[in-house]
Amino acid sequence: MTPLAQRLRDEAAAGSRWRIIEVLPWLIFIAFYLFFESRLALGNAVLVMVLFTISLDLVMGYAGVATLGHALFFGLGAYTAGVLVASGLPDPAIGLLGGIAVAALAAVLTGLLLLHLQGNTLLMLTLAFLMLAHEVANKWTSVTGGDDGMHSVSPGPWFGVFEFDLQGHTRYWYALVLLFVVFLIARMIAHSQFGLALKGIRENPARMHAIGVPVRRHLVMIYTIAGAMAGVAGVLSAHSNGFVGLETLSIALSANCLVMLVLGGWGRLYGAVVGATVYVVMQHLASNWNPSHWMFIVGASMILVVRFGKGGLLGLLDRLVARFRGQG
Amino acid sequence: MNVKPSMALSVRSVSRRFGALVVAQDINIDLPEGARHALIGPNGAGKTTLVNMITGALRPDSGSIELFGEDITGRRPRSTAPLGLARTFQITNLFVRLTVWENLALAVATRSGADRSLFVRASRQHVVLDEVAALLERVGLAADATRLVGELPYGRQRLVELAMALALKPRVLLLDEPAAGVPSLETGQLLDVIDALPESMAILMIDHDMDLVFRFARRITVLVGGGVLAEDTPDNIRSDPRVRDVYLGRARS
Repeated sequence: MTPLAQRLRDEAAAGSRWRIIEVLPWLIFIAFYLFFESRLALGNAVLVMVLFTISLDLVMGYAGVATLGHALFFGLGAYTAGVLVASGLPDPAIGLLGGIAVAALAAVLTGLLLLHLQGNTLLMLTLAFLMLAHEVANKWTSVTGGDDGMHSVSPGPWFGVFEFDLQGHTRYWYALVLLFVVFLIARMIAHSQFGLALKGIRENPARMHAIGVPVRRHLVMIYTIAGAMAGVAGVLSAHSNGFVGLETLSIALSANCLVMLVLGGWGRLYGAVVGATVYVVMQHLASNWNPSHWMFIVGASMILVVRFGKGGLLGLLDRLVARFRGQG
Repeated sequence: MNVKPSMALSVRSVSRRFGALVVAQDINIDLPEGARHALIGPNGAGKTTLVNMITGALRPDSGSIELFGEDITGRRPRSTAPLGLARTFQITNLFVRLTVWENLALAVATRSGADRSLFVRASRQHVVLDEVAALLERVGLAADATRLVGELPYGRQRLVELAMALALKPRVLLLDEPAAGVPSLETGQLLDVIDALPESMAILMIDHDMDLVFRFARRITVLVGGGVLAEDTPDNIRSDPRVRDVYLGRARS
């Protein structure tokens, strides 16, 4: 083997190796459980949104697919979980598998229909599918409860043992374990040859066509995987809150998720982790502090990050570290 | 017309018009295996249109394109790349925010099908990486392997462009103005790489640069106003009065 080949192997390995710092978010999530037992609902909301944002990062941050319809898969996961419980199948595992299946199916179908498109057209059509689903959920009251939503979605115990308790211990671990599994899968994809191809499609789809890449097939593939992951987030939300409402199929949910992704920094997975965590916690603190004007605070912080923090909070951190090292 | 059985690339009576404007008029070009063929002509002669028709970006109104006897008219790179057709772009068309080795890994992985593996780390796919390393050494980019393509000087980017096409292991290679925009001092390395391409590869070079074309080509087609004005050996083309009138004279002025 030539020295160059060895160097490339080392370089490529260094890019995907686990670093110690990557333990940090998981330690924080575990520490939260230990020290904020009374706030597990907030912690659970964070985990659900982190999972959802990671799925959006795969589609938008890595593959560069412009979508405002990602909540479609979240909502379908949530409603599927709700409907399964309501129709006498309270086992959370069934809800989870059902939600994944429905969300993935919807992602394959809409992906095949839409992913040869780009830019604004794609943005509008992903939005249109979400609005359609929203309207169906609104009108199909016998199944979805319409505007009132589905209440008392109370799944049975996990593995017949872990009851969904009032304090939220079970649902916190449920969310954390699923988030970790989804994160591992997302990380593997991000560092795979397929993940590199997604970046290539994001950077220069025309050239990817020219070297013979089945661009649309790759996009449908990642859209489906991410759709299934968003479905997991939706199921988690339904099982955790015991409620499914129209906001799970809303444009606002898609938009908030996008804000979280940009806030943290897209195309690096940990940006989704940081962005969603900061956003949900900030939203919680700001709404406690000033219930009527909290959106103002969120909006102002967003403007600051976008203006001064290219690459989101993690981009900002990168530059601070670089400056610090430059001086040291 | 006698057609040899082992033509690598055949352009047969291809015509194309945009409204009233004829951009290709009954064009015929045959590239046997190992061809070193150049396509020259003044601006607007239809060179790029022809390349676009060969690579399937544009459909001819009539006529056909054949690759090793198989009709590929209007077929996209996704189906022609596996058959051995690759091209470089006149204007560098790369992944500027990825590193040089990542650019090449994309092409190598696509050709070998490695881009379909979702759960194997790219860094574990040593077959791909080793092939990338070999390519980098072949075109003289070893020192730039880990740099971002966007940070390279233009001459080096042209080498990446060429290496991307070679990564597809083509049997027919279209070079669309490979030295365009490269300072003449830096073209040497590019020419050396082109000279060292495998003898069996059929190459069609499209270029204005006469020094480059006459050094490279064993056959030249002169395109003017969408039609073939002449096809011959470099020596005969050089002395053809019609070619001098419409093209060479102007290019040398």
